[in-house]
Amino acid sequence: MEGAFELDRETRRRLLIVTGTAAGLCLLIVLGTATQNYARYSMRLNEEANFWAVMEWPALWWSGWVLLTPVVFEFAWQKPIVAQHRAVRTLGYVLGAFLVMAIHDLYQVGIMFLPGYNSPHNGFYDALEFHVLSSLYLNFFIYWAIVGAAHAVKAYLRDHEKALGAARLETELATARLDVLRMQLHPHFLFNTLNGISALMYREPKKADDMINRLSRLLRRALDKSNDHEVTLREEMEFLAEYLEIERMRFDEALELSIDVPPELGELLVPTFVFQPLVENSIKHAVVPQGSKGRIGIRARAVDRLRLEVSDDGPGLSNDSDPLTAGVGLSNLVDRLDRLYGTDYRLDLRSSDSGGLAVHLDLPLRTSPLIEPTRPRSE
Amino acid sequence: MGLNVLIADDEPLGRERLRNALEGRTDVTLKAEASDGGEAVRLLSAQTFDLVFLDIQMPFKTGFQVVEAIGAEAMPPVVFVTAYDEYALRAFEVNALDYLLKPFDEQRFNRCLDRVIALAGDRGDLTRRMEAALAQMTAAKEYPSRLMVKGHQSMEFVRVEDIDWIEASGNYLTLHAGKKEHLTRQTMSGLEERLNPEQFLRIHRSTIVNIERIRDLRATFKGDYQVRLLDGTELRLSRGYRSALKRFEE
Repeated sequence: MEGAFELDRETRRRLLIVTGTAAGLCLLIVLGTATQNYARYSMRLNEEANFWAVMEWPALWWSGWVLLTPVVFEFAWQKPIVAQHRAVRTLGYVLGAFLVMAIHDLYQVGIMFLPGYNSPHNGFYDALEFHVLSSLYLNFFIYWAIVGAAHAVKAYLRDHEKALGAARLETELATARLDVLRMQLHPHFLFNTLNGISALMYREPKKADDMINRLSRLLRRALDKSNDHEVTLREEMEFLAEYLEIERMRFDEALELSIDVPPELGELLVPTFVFQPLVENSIKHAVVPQGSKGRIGIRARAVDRLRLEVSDDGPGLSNDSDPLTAGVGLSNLVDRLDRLYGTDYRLDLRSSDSGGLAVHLDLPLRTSPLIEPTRPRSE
Repeated sequence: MGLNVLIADDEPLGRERLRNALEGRTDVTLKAEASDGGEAVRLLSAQTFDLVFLDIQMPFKTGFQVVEAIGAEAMPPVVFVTAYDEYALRAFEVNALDYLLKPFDEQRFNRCLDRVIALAGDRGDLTRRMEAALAQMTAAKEYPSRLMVKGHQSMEFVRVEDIDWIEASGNYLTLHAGKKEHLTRQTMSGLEERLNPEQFLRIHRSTIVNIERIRDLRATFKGDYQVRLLDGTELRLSRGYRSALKRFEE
């Protein structure tokens, strides 16, 4: 297939930089060595020296490395020695060293035996032996320098990117202080709740009053926490309880809950308001369409990761109606998780035991925040 | 006896509030209630109503999709009801359509109802304004930045910008995104609707392509085009879809 051997832009750019750097360095070394040798021959040994002649040998040597450097570098870049393959890859690079050195020697000797080249050696094997012996040590060193450089550059770029990512996350969240509030406690929820209170006023003023109080507590908590990227699971559950109570009132108690979050997990950190969009999604897909009781289960478990689960008994994934619609409400949450955890989280939706939808979110187990809150807590 | 009214709102308390407000009027009668968009469409096509209170954000079908399904010309006069929706409000304002913002008071409710009843006579004008609002809503539609793709056992989120092209095969679609392929049970037109036409182009009965991934087009002797993507993939743009290119031509 066409395109199988085409390199992507980033790889092409990297190869270009590496080859350019290698060529530049080698040129410097060749000129330096030649100058030094020329000076030595002509001044100390008083020999008739030709600058171009003394350059021949280093040029031959180093040009081999200009060609080999991108190959070795790219290989080390693609298959670095990492913890999980340490032994195998280290062995691979040791064997690779001999292979690369052999190629280098053959390249050099090969050129010397090109027609018209005035070789000082007695035949091919003599030349090979001479080159292998005289370059073994230096070539071995150069090889590892290239492998090391690839690892170092890669590690540097990764750290740099990480720092950049953290800074970006910080500004994003600082500039959009009220975004959490706006996104999570969507105006739609807010005004519908107010409208519900308005309806309840006519029928049950006490219940309306109750709903106003719950909404106030929810708003206060959301305002207090809107700058924190993460809260403890205990705080999140308190927030969720208020939210769910309001949702129950909005949907006329047609909401049956089972919450199973062990109190000993209370100090673990979770993204602020992480449950709310998940539960909202379940309500939309389980409670509203059924018109009668909808069941929602909320669970947390910790083994080596923290797993949060929200499941419902709605139509789930099995129905053939547009499976993509379920995603719209969750998109904000996914964006936030991406920014907070990078790839260190897993969110998936599957069929629950009751045939509804089950959302599983796996997070790293942590009790200290990823990023410090952007301001001191003050009233 | 008065005007027959339909209320469509997914929240019980939302319906209750409208019911309360209607009780104060002698010239209208509540005839039916719908708790989601689909039910609203069923009721509207089965019975005749003189007036509809239509919530916009409902599961399965939004208020606008209800109007679309019934057709603006067949729709009785509508009072749109919404808690919060920037785009919708702009569309109502521009096209002088009546709407209620939740929560509302009796005075606002009555003024709105009186206006709708007064203007209900001019059907043609109403249809025209409704159609204009629908068109505006479609244009302002927000496209999702991620699609959820149903996998074997679970769902996966696929970033829309990562999708190179989409291929239909039987009842399934394959989303090609870099080296990954996601299989989803979905119709071509259903998916096309969720993708921004500025970014995705339907080039064949069974192909949608991300415009940014196209390297070049070559006309073939049959009048089709061969579309080559940046990664070397070759696709066919069939004659029937050639008009899709029109808007890119100078």
